[in-house]
Amino acid sequence: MMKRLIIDITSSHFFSILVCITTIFNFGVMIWPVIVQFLPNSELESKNNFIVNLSKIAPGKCELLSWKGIPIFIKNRLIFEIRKARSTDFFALKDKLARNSNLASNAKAFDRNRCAGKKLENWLIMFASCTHLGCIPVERINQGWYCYCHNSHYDLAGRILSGPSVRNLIVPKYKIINNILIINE
Amino acid sequence: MSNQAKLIKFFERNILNYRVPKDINILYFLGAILLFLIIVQIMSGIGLAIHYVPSSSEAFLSISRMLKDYPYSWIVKSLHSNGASLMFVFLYFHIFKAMYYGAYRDSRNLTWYVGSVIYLVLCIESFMGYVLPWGQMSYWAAVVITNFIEAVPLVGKHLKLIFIGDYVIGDKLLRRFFVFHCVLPFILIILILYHVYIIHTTGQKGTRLMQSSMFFSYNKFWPKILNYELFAFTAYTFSLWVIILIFPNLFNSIENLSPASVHKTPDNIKPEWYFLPFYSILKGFESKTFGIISVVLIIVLFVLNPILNPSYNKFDKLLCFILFLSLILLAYAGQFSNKLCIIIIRFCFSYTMFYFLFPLFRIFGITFVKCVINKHL
Repeated sequence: MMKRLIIDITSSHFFSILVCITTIFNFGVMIWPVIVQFLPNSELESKNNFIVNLSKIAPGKCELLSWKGIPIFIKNRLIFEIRKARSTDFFALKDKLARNSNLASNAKAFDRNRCAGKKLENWLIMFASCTHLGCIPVERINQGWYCYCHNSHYDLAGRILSGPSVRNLIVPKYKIINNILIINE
Repeated sequence: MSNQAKLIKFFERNILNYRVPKDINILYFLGAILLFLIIVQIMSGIGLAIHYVPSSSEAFLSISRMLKDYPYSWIVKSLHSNGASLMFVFLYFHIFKAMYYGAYRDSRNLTWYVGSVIYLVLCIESFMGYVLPWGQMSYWAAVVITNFIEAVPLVGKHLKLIFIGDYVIGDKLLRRFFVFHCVLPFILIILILYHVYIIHTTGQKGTRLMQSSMFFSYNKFWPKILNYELFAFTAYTFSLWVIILIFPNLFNSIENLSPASVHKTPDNIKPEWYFLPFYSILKGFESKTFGIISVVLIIVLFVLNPILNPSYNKFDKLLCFILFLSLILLAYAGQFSNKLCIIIIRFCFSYTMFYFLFPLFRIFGITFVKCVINKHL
């Protein structure tokens, strides 16, 4: 009688559909974690701040630091460099937006929007990645930066003057508290 | 006939209308679950290999890092390691089914040979996979087994150097094992497809004593056998999920949770459970060379089973059942090392030799008696 019952159940329509659903569920549950492994782990990245002691950087010096593989320029500008950056003609600039993640996205590319703010105008912090194809520009004294890869010229505020790049060097999100720089995300 | 028509006919003949004998039981669906498990192993292996670093200093840390940082990575790791153990469980039941129902005789000889090659390749693959996490047990298992390669008579030392790539087990061995661990599945898949192809030419053998032909008392694959197969599939994967979710450390060794240390050997080195029969045979002999010769002999006899056991009757069924019981006993006794266990090991080993060689002796005995009788007449 048990055998007859088992045969009745296992040959029923409902049972075969149930079994199909469980096999598909099985496949899915086994493959889904594997797919998740391919996704980047953003939880780890966002909690990682980059902390720099700004008193270590002498005036006039430009530090190239690496934050998890991303190159960052930290420049302690002298007064004449700030003056020269502010004296460039705004309408001669190729890219008129500030590209500063701390400000609104339509902020204009004035030098006050590129540097660290009031009383901290000497600090210029940017991603050291040329906005054309990513090479690291080289500092040219009194002239800004120059990218050897495809001849992009940047001025003393990191704004593009000539060359194949379309955007100014991007400024990350940061805070300066008590001479300590914290860059996050 | 057009190619499209040929393809449809192939599909119909081998999948939809494939003839399966009526007298099969749930053991007959182990082949499908093994194929599924290989695919699961490949997928979970890919999921692990994108995080794993095959360097002796980084391997253990990379796995810990993966488990900590990525969601559901514990499922992937558990699927891979417990899937390997379960694959061996199902594989041993699959071999038991083949031997118990005599599905290796006459026209099915090639199935058996290809199947035994698959078994050996799987053994190598799983051994390499066990070494990769670079825990204590992994490292010392690699040490022990490479020392046995050295015991080969003439070329042992050179073989060992070629195998390891250095004079010491370390980074080079790990990298080699990782490469081969990722490459052997291709060979496995080819062998398995060939295995399935051969089975489709001869047909399944049912549970009855006589060879069942493909043309008497059969069921077609669609829909009844497929239904049965999916049910068996569900039942077998249920066991997989029970092990992953409820007993995840059933097959794990506690020693393997600590990173490999060259300075300290664990107290109780033993390989994974599926190698325990061979390990205990090695233990049963005091001399290293005799141990290796007997292991190789057992493997050779296993591969040549169709030649050695061509006949098949009810008594053979009983002998086969006792063989598997003795292998289980062999595996259990191989974990310990007291005198009683060595006696049990020797007893079980002699029974396995008897099982494979007795028919030969019987044939030789009969021919010998016939010669004697003919001589005297």
